Amino acid sequence: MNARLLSELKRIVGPRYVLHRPEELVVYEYDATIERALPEAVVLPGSAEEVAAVVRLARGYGVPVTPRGAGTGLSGGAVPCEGGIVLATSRLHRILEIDPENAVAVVEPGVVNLEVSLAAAPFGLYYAPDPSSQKACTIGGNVAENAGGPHCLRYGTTTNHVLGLELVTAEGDLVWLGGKTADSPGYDLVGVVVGSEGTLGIVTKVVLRLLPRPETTVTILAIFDDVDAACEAVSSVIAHGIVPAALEMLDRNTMLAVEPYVQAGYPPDAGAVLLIEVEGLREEAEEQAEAVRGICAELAAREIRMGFTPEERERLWAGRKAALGALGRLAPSYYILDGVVPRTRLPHVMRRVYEICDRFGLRVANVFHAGDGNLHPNILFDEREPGAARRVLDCGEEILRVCVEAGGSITGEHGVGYEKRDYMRWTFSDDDLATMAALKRAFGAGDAFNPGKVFPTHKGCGEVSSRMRSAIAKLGPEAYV
Amino acid sequence: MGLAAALEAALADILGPEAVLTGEGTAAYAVAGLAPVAAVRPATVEQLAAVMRLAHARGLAVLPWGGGTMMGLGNPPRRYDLAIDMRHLDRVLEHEPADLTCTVEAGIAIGDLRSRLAAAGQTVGLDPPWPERATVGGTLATAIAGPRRYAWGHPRDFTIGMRVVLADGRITRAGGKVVKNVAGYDLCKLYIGSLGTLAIIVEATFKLLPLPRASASLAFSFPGPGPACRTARELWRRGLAVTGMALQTQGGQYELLVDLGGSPGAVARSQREATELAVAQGGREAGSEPFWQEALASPVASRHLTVRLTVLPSRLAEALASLEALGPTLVVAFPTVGHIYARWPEGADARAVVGQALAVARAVGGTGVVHSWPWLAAGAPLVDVWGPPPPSAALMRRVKEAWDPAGVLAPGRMVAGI
Repeated sequence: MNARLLSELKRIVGPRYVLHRPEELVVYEYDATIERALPEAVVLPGSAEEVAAVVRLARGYGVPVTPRGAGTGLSGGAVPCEGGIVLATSRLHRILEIDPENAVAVVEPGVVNLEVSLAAAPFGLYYAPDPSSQKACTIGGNVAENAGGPHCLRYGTTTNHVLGLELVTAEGDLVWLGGKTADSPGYDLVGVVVGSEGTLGIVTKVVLRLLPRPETTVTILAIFDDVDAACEAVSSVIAHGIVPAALEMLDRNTMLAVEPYVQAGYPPDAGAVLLIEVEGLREEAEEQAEAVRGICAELAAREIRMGFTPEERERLWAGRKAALGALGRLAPSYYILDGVVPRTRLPHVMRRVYEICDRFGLRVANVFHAGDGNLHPNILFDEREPGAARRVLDCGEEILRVCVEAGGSITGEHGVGYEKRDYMRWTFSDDDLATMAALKRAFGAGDAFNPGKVFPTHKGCGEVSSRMRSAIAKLGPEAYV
Repeated sequence: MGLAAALEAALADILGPEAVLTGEGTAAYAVAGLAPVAAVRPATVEQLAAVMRLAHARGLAVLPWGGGTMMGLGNPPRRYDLAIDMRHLDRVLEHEPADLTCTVEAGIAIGDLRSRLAAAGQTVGLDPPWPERATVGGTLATAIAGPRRYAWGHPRDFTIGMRVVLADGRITRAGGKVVKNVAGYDLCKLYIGSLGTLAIIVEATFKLLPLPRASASLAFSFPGPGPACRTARELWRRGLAVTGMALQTQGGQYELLVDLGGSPGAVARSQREATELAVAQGGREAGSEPFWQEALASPVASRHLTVRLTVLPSRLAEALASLEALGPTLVVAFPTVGHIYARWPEGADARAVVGQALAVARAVGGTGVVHSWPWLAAGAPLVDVWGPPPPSAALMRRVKEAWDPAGVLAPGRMVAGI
């Protein structure tokens, strides 16, 4: 990297907080996906003003800036595809305010998701979106990807819980969008920045909505002999007009991986389990729990367990949230998908997922937000086996095509990022995409932030795939879905 | 052939003569005293797109028109040539009850949609005043929400997809039809509340809600705003089965209206606890009629001045107390959201009242918007009904320029005259 740019970066954030030696940079070349790309420099600003100064400087040099939270993302969002500067938010980790009267929190982007709920707990409040990585992932990353999580079924994803943002624009200006009060006059720019994958600006403060803890939570574990019956049960619960707080599915391969690792209490001999939670007033939760139990029983659940102690419930969720990391026990590598389908199509699409993987000769472990119709097939493979990576990518593409054909989406909560950008044309026309590009133009963002993400390229798919092939590598136990 | 006649002929070519109104018929579409040259009623999205291509080519200023209940919102248009009445685009395109989603055309009235969904035991979270007239498109474009926002959320929370016609007539989609989707920028958010200045919403897809099995309505009267707001907050904190909430005041009494819904057991308990809470705060049970609809909008062109204040919920009681001195005839607040709608009759000194009401909001760190000022005629001395421009106004202007560089869609109606 240009020596003068480096020294100016050091002047802005302090020499300690600019990394540029190769052994320092490799730590920032990846997130939880198969993508890899080395930044030319990493900066760790300590304030919003420093972020703005870094952005202004980078703009002057025509160098792109890619923001990075904890690097737990699953679409390559934090990977600097085109090099440049990675701006890590790890020093912007202060909770600036918990306002219990108005049920809002104001935080910096580097604050870890779970810390918000911990800080709000003394007031009986919490922050609802709960990605499986919530002990590690940051609010800034959640905002960029519009992160979901198991309990988003009832409470909505990140976008439903962000009231305001302070943003550094491409010009390096600090501007507030929205705020602590509801419905700020003008266009809802908060709503478009959430989920923009770090391409429109860099978020330096976030106003979050907090919710009161529900009075009662009932956890239900419904055990099925096969995935098909479990899927039918999911569709039936929704069709009965019951929207639980969470409705998760784990299949046999997932439980085989999780149980030896976490001892969460899942029956590894079952075909699939549904981990269901209903919440609210005691009367409401108990009635819903009974209704859910009735539906599962009718659809031939082998066993329905309820009445868990808080410790048992904790272990079930620990097993669910650590599932992706545990898959490392089954295969050296895996490739995770994030398709969404209408809930009525779940049984059909899941049958297709297994058929397709069988046809490709690949093992798959499914652990996902069934109530939302948000699938996460994890395709297991060994990257050292010749041709395996190609097969995995082709298999994944076919599964996402099935999701789209069923009326769904290529991504429910992980983001488009790099790997799925060429699939955007499956659901969006040129005019649709041109309109999205108009937003980037309005923000003056061009390629200033996180270039190479979201929008399809004019490169052929083969070119992209060859890059991905070379990038496929083993994931560690730090990964979450 | 005069300009109006030429335009009428060109529009009739697209729509057929019966769907084009000119002359006196356009008075029904007047905004701020300004009537358009023509009003059209497209029956298909393709017809609407063709009308927009024509309008764009000729530089005509266009206002989309739904039920007409909320046309008082926004600055008077800078120019206004053509009204597009959306009410013939009123079909339910898809409703799969078992998916809890539906896709509808924007011109359908909320009341019609509710009846269709109720047959399947479901409903949609849209909660505008005058639902029999208000349309889906108008409710989204104005981002208006009523008491049920308490439980059902804001339109931005449950609108998962849209189809819009852009200023130049291109038809585009945003979002999709599944309940969770992060593919691309979430442009639905941008269109909700954009008051027809970015695109014309022609279809929308929603997450639906099951209708509650049991319900009840309660009303409590309080001598002042403080105890009413404390009661509202405690209902929220306890997570009682509240589906809607509004605080209304007339003649010094503050009435908290609470709708309950859920399982019979939850509703019965919530009713008991809500009553205990209200009584402990000095409230007593009341039986008056809700008037939140009148305060938010009017089913016919009305001559009332309405101001909306937005404050932190913790400062709402204070703002209500200060507003009292300004003598509004109706005040309705959504205490957990932080909105206050206050209405004055025609004849009030509007400029003075607006200035004082906005000062009340500012004093508690809030903002104010003139929600309706029907006698603020187009071309009158410049008043931005949205109040001082927000810090992001420059960015908003760039969004408008990127979407509608020719300035044909509702020019001037938005914040900062955008």
